Amino acid sequence: MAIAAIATASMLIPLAACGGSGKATTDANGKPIVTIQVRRNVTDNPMKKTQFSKDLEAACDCTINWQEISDNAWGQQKSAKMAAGDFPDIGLALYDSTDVTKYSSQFEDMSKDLSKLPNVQKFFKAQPDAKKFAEDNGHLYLLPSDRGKGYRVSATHMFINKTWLDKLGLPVPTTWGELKTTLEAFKTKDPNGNGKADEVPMNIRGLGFGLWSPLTLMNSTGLTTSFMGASASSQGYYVKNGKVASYLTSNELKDTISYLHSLMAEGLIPKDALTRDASKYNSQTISDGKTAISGVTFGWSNYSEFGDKLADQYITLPPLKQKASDPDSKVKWDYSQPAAEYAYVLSLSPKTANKDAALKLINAMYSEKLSVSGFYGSIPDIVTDNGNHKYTIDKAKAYAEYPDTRAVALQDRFAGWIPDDATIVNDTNAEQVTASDQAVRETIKKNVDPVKDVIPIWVHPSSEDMDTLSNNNTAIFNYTDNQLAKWVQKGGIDSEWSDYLKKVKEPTLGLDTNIKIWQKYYDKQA
Amino acid sequence: MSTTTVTPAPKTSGDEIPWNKHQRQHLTPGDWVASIIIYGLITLAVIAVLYPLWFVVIASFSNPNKVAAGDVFLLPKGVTFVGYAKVFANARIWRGYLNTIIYSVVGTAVNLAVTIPCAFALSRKEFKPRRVILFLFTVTMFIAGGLIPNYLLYKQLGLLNSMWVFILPGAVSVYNVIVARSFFETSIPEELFEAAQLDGESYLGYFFRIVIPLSSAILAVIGLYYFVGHWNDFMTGLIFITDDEKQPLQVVLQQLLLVAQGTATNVDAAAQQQAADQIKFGIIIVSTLPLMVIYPFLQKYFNKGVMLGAVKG
Amino acid sequence: MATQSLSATPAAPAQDSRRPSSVASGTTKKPNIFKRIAQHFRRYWELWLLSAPALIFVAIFAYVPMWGIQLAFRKFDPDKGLTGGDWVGFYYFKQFFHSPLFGEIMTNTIRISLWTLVMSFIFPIILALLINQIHSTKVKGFVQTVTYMPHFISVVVIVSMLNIFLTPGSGIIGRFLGPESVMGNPKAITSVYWISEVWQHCGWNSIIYLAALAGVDTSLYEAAKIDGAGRWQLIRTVDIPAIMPTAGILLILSMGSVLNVGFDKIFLMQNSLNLPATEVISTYTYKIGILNSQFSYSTAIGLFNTVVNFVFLITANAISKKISETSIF
Repeated sequence: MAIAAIATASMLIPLAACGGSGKATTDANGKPIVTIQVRRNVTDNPMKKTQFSKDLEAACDCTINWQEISDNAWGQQKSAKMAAGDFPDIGLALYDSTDVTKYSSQFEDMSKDLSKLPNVQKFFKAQPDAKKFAEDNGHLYLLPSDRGKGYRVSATHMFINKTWLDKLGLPVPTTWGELKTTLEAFKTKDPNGNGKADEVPMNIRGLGFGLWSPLTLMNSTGLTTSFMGASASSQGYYVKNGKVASYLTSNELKDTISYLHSLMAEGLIPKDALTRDASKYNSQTISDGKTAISGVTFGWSNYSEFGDKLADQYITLPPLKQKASDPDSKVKWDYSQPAAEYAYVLSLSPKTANKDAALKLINAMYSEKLSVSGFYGSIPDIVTDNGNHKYTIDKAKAYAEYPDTRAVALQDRFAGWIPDDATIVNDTNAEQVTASDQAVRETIKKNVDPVKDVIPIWVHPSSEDMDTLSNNNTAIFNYTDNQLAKWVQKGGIDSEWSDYLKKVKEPTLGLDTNIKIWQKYYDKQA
Repeated sequence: MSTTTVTPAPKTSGDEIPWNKHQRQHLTPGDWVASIIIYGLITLAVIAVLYPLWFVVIASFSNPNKVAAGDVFLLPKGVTFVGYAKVFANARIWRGYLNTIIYSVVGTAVNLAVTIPCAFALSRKEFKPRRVILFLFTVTMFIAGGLIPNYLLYKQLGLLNSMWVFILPGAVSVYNVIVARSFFETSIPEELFEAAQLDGESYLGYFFRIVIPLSSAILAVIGLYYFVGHWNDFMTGLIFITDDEKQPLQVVLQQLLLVAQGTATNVDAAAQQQAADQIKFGIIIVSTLPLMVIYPFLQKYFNKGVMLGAVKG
Repeated sequence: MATQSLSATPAAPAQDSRRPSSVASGTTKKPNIFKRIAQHFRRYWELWLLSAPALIFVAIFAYVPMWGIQLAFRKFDPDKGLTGGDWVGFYYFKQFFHSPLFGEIMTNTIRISLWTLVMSFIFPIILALLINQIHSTKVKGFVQTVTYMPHFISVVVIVSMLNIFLTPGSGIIGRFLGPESVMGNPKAITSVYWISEVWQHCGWNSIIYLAALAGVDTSLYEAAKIDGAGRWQLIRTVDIPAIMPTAGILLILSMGSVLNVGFDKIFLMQNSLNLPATEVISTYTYKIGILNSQFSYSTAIGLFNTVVNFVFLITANAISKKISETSIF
């Protein structure tokens, strides 16, 4: 039997080793077929049926074979598909710069094809930052999308219930101390007026260097965060005066953790905040749509945090000072604008059978009209072109089923560029987040230097270094995540801090190695 | 039920339980204590299992905020059917159901057709290569190639994005082969084989005419094991199926759940967020109910005193 | 025996073939090897036929993909395909052994899995013995149906149920356990894990024992009763011996998964507070392999895991065979 098994195996191995081929590259009418694979919610309207798709097909004189894959499935299939060499002609929202670094031969360098992509050239000319963001040592493996000025925002905002403040006759807090006093009032004075002590003065999702983290408070201490996407900041590294360092060993982090602990110790942050699942958080922010329960939270826009019924009770808290005596210039805020506006989105496979058709298609995607159709919904079915760069979204059609997600289009997985001179009427998500962003804009403009205070997201370490970084980070976070959580929960940071520092800096964990790697690429690329 | 043991019952329904017949003359104080302990423990176990399930049921149509706040205990509060409405309004759910039924039924049939004969062959002690075969089988329970080699193999065999990927790769569960083999070894008396030999039966004749009819219990158990495996199979669809039309129920439900919950980049409506928890509980019920319905039908096979009594007695 | 010696040591096959088997009391001469093979197939072709489909499936779907294991010894190179990378020997194994997390991961894995393994072995047996004591078939059916139900609930839901039940203050269990959630307590999380495992699978796993008990010869009870055996004695002398072979096999098999802590559940249960007790091999491999795409490293860790499991399995099998004649191969 062993022999039979081995015989069967040896017959199959050579078969398995070489990839499949022989797919049709033209349709029945002789038109080239271009496969576009897009990661999106498959409950959305299928792209195949949209006017947008027909417009694209007309522009490239080709047939589009849409393959839609859910976020969830893609997360599982991605590594296998890449290792198997399964790359679609055009990929939308499938790959990031890490993938490109690892599988560079599977990505077409579109810098060589720019002459065939005039719309993309126009885009780069208008938005040099987008070009910088996309370029990888002069190569162009992934084209970025630009959601436009409506999304040139910080991804994290701190919200406070203004209705409660007014009711209790309190001013908007400006320092950590004032915030604490305010939270205490929220806890004890029944600001929602239902007679129950059900208020959650400050609500948090968890603790970490990511979107909507309470560690965004570190910006009060003079360090800048950039908690969105795969930024260096999200891995715990920051830059100050051109020097890369880690939040994990900073006194600023220590202060922030101590502050959060002082809040939790007094019951101003729920005691189970670090262990519960997301549904409980939602039930406390969105609540029942009538009685607000949460006082202060961190999130995207007041509408997305609290739902349409309660959103109006909340305002964005302008960045706080750590101490009243701190100079204004010390206060920063989360700088995640590029990650909120741009995304790595479009990839082209070098093995594409119909490259010219694919390039025509890509170029069409970056035209103004098709960018709008791709992001918001097909013209004229969902969006009306009013002429003169003005577009109106038909709310009834676009938001009928999914009010904020525009499931009728590619939404944030689109490839394209919404130019600054385009006006979009009824883009509620942009309107809401822009409104929420106003309170932090001045601080960012005055006090945050996008290059000197932040490791820009276009700094890409090599594949080799990326492995080192991530292995070390896994080991580091395994220790520090728990320490930080423990300190917030139980305190003790003052007495344990020096032992902690010693352990984090141990060479086996590789913190210094990681800092050096980031410094190297920061110096080279920023 | 302990009442039947207390009152000296006439010969009733319990007559399949052997020692029941003699309970009147032999009920010792020790047996009394035993009965109390046994039924006490069983009651405890039933409550421990049933209450959380009951909770899921009432949570599935209670106001999700009340559930999260811990206000829901014995009865639903703030009854709404939003979760169920969302689940059933979705046409994909029904297609998922159909797919899952097809995969489970065909899959289980293939499983049994492959597993049972093999287990029988391996149960024959005179079949010497069985040790090597069992060893080779068992190895596969612990050593696997991993995701990527599997992916390449399925791609080569054309299984990707086809219903057969649910059925063929998992056609043999070595665990079930071993369980079935040990059943054949211990529960089918060797005398039957010798008698069959005298009657001039071949192995095939013996297997089909004598062993299979005596194996309803193991067929039911193994069949149920396989069926449940297919029914709850979630990863296969997620990893190897790209065409949404072919996704099984579990994947569809999971997607529905994720869409309901929203993601970081994809901010959903408030109403949807609120329904998410309810959908979650509704989904457990929608997806597990069919399995719970099947089991009682199979259960009677388990309780049949299979064949030993008939032979030795 | 013929094929076995063929595949292993074709040089010295002689003595085995002489041992008469229960069926074949035929030739004891020393025929040549081809003749013996032919003879074997003439006698057993039906058994080969019956097992052939399973053999083919196992060969294709289990053995063929094993060629990917060499990835553990190679530096994965996407351009050269899965097995085209440079040979690096035990580099990735050493990387794992020298990882600062190695000790913690191994301790956590073994602690969680041993607790779960032992408890998941004992409880179904107890439950099956208890259920078997119920007289009324209706009650029996009811208890069985109830206890097996949790088996069908998905892991995602189980974990969110744990979170809800254990919430301090409001959860039905959590309200008795102080102000901080036990989900965040590294000391308690192992218990939370195995208790919920037992809760979910105990009834289901007892099915196999109930099937074994259903096959018990009723005359054994009669005989024991006549000897004056009480209820406990019946359980001890009839029921337990009846399920021993099944229990033995299941125990051996579970020994082979000493380092396997199912990924989904523990991953979903992880949070920053319990992480020192919940980072196990499977979660670490996931973080390294799927999230960071380091296939070689994760394959190496997987292979190490396998080897340890296999050693346990073989040992358990050998011991069991010595002391109780029960073995899986």
